[in-house]
Amino acid sequence: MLAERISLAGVAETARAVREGRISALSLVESLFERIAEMNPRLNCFTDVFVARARREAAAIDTLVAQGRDPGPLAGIPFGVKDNYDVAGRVTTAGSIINQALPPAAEDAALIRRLTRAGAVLLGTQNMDEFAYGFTTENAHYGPTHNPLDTARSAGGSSGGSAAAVAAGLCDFSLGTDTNGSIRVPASFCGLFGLKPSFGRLPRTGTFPFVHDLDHLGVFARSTADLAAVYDAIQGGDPGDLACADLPTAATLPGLDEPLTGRVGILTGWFDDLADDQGRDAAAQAGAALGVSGKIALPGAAQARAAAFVLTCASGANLHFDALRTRAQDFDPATRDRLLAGALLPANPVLQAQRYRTVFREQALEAFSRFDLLIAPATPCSAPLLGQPTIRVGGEDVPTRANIGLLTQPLSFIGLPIVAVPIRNGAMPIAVQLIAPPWREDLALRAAAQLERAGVARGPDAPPC
Amino acid sequence: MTEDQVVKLAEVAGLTIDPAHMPGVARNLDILLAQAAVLAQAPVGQMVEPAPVYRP
Repeated sequence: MLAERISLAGVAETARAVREGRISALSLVESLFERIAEMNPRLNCFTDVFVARARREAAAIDTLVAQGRDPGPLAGIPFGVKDNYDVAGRVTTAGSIINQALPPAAEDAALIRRLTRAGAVLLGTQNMDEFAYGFTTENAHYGPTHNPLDTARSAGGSSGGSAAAVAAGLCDFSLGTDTNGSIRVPASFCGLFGLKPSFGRLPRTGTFPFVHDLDHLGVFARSTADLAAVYDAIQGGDPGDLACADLPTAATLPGLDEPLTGRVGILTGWFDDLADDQGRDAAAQAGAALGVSGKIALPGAAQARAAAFVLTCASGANLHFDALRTRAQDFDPATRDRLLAGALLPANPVLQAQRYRTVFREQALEAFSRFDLLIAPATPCSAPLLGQPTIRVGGEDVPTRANIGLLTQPLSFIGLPIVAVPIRNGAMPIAVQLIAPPWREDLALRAAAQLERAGVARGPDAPPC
Repeated sequence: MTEDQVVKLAEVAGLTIDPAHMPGVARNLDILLAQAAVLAQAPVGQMVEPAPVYRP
């Protein structure tokens, strides 16, 4: 089908085809409605599909093209959002039933509005761990999301529906959120590219929070060029998010082909010890292709992970305290028990975690005085089976859900910009984190593009049927 | 963490925990306190300021 073939060519080429009238935006969304109807019952990526809205928006794009007007750089590109993004007229569930008591959103989240202005077409909302608290998207209310590469396996979480939908070709890109690894983990398990920008880069206006101090928004895509095209369309401050920096936008797509000339280091210690052989091999492959010049440890990584763990649990409990008091039975059991525990935590470790952020940030900045880009595996293993109780980490069997984020948590704790790139060096893919200094998303994206050109990183060949 | 201890902590916090939820809460509190113990080893001087609204 022409629409599907062009869509798989990537965001830029697809948008060009729409702008030049070679394909209609409406045919693109119609082809995906068919695909979603066929595949979503097996994968459980989408929680809601906005057929009427998407048809209306796609038709409006086609009208602009017919009138000779520019519909925008993402003309007709179908996308989805994690179920914690506001969509006008719809209740933002954040993967819970508790939120069903909230009023419908008055308007779209800020990033959806920006994408719509750029010509992209919202297809629907996507499944997640309840309140974004998890790494496997095994949601007791809305069911598990299945990995399109092996439906017995987890798609990762908490943005699992968003990742699985892109990997399965049900949309061209998705927006997710990443508090402790919720973009990088699903990217690793589903074989996708994922961007978690610097904390404060993208406005969270109109998204349901999890941990205000740690929440980032970001993107899943099938290539670096797609990531950059979307990221360029959504950058910019917004007064609705107090933590969002008011920085000028800087397009990254035009510079993607420039080779990375900086010093590249591989993270050792925590990030090497807790990875498996596949993850270590993936990091080594990426390092070799980027001309790695050394290795470095962040000695406080264990404490940083502990601090992120404590802060997440306590902050989440604070956010949901009223519901924990009055509606505890309505939580997903896995979420409820952790949040109740967080509500019982004394203040001292929470305050220690906040102050330790400053210490660990200095460690990372010191590392960036020696290196321009750092590399680490994204997950301790490739996708586990759904329901798998333990994973093997550092020679020990440890609970799966609590430990999948071991390698992502220390880094989001200090808000560094990271691109997760998929390496296909095993039966299932695994991702490597390309970690840049604060605000240097451009460096991480250029490195990702270089790995793609070298054939080391590769997105889905073709969405599985 | 015993379930009795969890009950007492919950009373202080203003929460009532369903007995059916108690084993899971106690287990998660143990995990959380283990992480707090790791964090307690971190060298954080008295002059280090917190970063409640963090800017990298």
